[in-house]
Amino acid sequence: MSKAISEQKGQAVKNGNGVYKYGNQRLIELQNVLKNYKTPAGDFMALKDVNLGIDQGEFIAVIGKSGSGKSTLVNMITGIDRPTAGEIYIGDVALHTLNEEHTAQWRGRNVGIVFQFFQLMPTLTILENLLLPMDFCNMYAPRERIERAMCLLEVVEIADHAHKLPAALSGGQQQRAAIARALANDPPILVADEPTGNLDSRTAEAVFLLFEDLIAQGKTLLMVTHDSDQAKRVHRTVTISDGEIVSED
Amino acid sequence: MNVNKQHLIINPRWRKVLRDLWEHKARTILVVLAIAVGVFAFGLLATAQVVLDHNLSEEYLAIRPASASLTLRSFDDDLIHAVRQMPDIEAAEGRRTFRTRLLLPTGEWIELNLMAIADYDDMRANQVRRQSGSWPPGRQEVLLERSVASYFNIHEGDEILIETSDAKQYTLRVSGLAHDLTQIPSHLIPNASGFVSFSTLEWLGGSHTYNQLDIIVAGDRGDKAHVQTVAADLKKRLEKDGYIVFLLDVPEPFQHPMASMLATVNYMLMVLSIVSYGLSGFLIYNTMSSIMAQQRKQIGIMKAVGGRERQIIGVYLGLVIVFGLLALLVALPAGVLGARLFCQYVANLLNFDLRYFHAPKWVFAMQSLMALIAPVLAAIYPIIHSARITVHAAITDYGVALERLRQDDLTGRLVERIRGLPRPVLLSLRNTFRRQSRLMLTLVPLAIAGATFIAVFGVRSAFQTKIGETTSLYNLDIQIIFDRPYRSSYVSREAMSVPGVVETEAWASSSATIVLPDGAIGPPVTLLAPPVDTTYIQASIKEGRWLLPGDRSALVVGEDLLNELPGYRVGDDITLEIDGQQRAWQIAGRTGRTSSSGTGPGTGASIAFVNYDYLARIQGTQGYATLLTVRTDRPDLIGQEQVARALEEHFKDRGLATGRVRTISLVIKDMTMRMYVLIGLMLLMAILLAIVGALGLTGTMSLNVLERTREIGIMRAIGATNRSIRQIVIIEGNVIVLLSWTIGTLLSIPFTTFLSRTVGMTFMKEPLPFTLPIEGIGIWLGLSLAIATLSSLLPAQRASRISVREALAYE
Ligand SMILES: Nc1ncnc2c1ncn2[C@@H]1O[C@H](COP(=O)(O)OP(=O)(O)O)[C@@H](O)[C@H]1O
Ligand SMILES: [Mg+2]
Repeated sequence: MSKAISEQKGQAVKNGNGVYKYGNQRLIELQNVLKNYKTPAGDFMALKDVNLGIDQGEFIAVIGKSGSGKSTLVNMITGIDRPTAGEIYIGDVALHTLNEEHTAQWRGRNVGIVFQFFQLMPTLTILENLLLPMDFCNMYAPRERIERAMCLLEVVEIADHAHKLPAALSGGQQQRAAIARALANDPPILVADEPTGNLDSRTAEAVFLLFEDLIAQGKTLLMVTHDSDQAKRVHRTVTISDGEIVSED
Repeated sequence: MNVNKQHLIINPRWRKVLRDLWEHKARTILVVLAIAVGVFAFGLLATAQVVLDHNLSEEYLAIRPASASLTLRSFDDDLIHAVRQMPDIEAAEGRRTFRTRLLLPTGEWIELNLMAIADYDDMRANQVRRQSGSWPPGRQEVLLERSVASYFNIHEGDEILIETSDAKQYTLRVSGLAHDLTQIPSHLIPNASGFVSFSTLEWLGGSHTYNQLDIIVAGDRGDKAHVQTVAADLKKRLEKDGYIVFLLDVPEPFQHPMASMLATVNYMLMVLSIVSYGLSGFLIYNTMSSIMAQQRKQIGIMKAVGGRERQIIGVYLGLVIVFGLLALLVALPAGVLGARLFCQYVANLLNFDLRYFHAPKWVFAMQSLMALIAPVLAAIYPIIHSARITVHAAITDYGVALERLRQDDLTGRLVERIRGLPRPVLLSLRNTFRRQSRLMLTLVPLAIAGATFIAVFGVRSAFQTKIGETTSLYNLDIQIIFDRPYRSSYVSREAMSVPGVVETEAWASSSATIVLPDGAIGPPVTLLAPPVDTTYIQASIKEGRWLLPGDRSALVVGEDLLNELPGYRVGDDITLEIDGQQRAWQIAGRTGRTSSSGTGPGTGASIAFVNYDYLARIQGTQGYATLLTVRTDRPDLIGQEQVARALEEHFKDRGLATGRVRTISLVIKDMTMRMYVLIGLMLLMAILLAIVGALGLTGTMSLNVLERTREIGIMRAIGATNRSIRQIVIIEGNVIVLLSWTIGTLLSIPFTTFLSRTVGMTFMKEPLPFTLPIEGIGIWLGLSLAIATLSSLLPAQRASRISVREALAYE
């Protein structure tokens, strides 16, 4: 996999003082983030005063027991969920201040998401699934889109299946498609919530290798995982327990 | 790179829309048909209205319709020339009408009105057009009105036997057909009309003078008041010159006599089509709500990859717009085709030619708007509501989990019940009420369809009541109208000698014209003068009183006449002109409907009752009868017709001039026939509504089955058979339909009231009485159950095919 799939254009860069627009020094900064869920059994604190910084180009693994708050944490970064209190800065954007509409728009161009259950659109072909984010965010000229999508599919080695519906593919193939889709708009940040949780170990390894390639191309990657072997191979591991970050190394 | 080109043209968002439509073909067809029904019906009726009006008025204007027609005793060419010279008159045409009767191939006698025309190639008003065969008719030849030929199956070249009022029979050759647009066609009133030369008329024993003067006024011919003034002036002048004017008729200018009725019928049908269109919105709402609920996760994914709320709303609006476009694709051509057939049918019924058929563009534009607006309006709420969902709520299962919990709880209870005793009825009931808003939106269209359907039957019963009123007013079987007065005792004795005749009563009668307070000519009225102690008239007096012995100029009038004369009430004076003489009368009482001939405007004068003694005295005919009423021992139409024919034979043998022998039953039958045309059209529209309702029910049943996939799977897992699953669905359909039937029956009360009033005012100039249509309610029940079974058949089939595996995979 040698093709350059990233052009890294038009991205927020640190100014001369080495800080982003809101004074944050790291690409992703969570400051005193608190998340409270209202449940029938009363309030539940899923994140308790989380502070976290991630630099551009870092490969981070988030680990922790089931229900510890891993998904809640990464959902804060993708804008899928919003903090009850605290601030989230990503590049030049103060994510916690954006409304749903602006969040969706920002997310489409800046964050690629890979889910545990792939979440491909069932009535669209693999190729069309890749075209959808470009279409929504109006990225690239329509002519370019197909070329780019096919190129991404080649990178993840499922170009042969471009015109099939997701249901016709194996789990590993679907997850490759989902990764390709996450890269469709060439976002600087990728967030994957247990991307290999549903895959056998060989397939999981292939997916992980893909991620390493993306890091080599300068992407920033945040991955929730249960796999301790994988966790050893990343730049940094964030361990979360009961909504608190207990270690970072 | 073919595929890629496609991708360039249709972006993935729209591909998703089209795929979704294609994936659920049955659902798509259902929604599309529901929208199409209303749009189609509207297009059909709007186009038909324009086309029919255009054709009818064009054709009517082309025959140079008379502004006014006067019936005189007699006049000649000198008068016509004099009238043509008058500055207020643009054209005048003299004719002679001559009453005969015609023997049909079936052996039945019908009325044949012959019209003698002096110059067939120079008709100045009410032009009769050549249809086929020879022109003009030669001696001993007749041109039959074309509707007569087609309705009674008489052909060019046939010989017909006719009989004049002095009982002489003649054979005429049908040398051709003619078209007279001013006549009410035989399809509507089974009389006949034909055209002859004056020499033929003389041969038949008629006079060589004219008796009908048709004029076209100069100046503003479209102004009815102007026409009336000119016509009334002319009438005065003629009378001053010694002419006897029996009747003056001023029709609506430029308007075919049937045009306004046609417009009203069309308007009523149009209202129904718009209702059916509106109701299709309910189906769309139900369907879209369900689609949006199922698309929850996909909406989440789209948002996760950068789809904004507006874009997602766009995607689903696109879906409903495609529904609308598909409906338009069906409704546009079907509407034009339907309009063509409908116009052809109406043109045939009213005896005019459909020369132009041009579907107006504004109708297409309206249809396009309709096809797009209803789906969008109906779907906008479910779409916006669902597009608001956050990615988090859509993708994580927390929101859904709560719902699942509730559902599982319900399912659990259901399972318990099944274990105890399989109770499909109970299960169905529970299912029915689970989704209340959907249930409501399914019930309403069905209930409205039902109410309309029942109301049409209500109108029918009301018509029948009215016809019954006419029937019971005349407590007699046969009316014999003489062309001149005969001694009462003589004609009674002669009639009694005919087998089947039980009793007779001799009446006087006269045609009269109402003179309005400002001297203008009012509507014509037929005076019937039975003896004061008659039992042959059983008037139900609604106001005032019946005639008393010693009443002189007292009138008892029917509601129909008073409705024509706004401003006149019981107790008022009214001026009548009889044989050229004006007299003051008093309206003593008001009865129900009197007119025996009218279920449409322009089809006969209203009737007023006066005392025999008084009318006979002013006419100088005491002891004489111009009308003999007869009671027979025959209970039915056929028997009475036989007696009527025998009476005719008998009077003919005696050399009496009988103008017409009519059985009341036949008159009733004619009225009934025309009523059925109208009822039939309205029923058709009610059926369109029912189709929309049925489609809605099918939709709801399918959605219910789809959403209950999991539950059905569980039932299956614990041993429910195909049959019992089907049964649950079908019973649910029937529960819904029975509910809608109940609501529809209640709704039918205001519906019937409204429809009876509208139809009555149009066709009888009076509101029809409210009649509870028990029959309609019963038939609708039967139809409803059929709809329930048909609508749940497919969903039931689908439900019974759900496998346990499939059910558990469903989310
Ligand atoms: N929408 C929600 N409503 C209520 N509780 C939630 C919601 N989302 C997450 N939680 C709770 O927050 C905790 C953390 O959840 P999550 O971040 O999904 O854990 P994990 O580490 O397994 O990804 C869990 O106990 C979960 O039950
Ligand atoms: Mg998780």
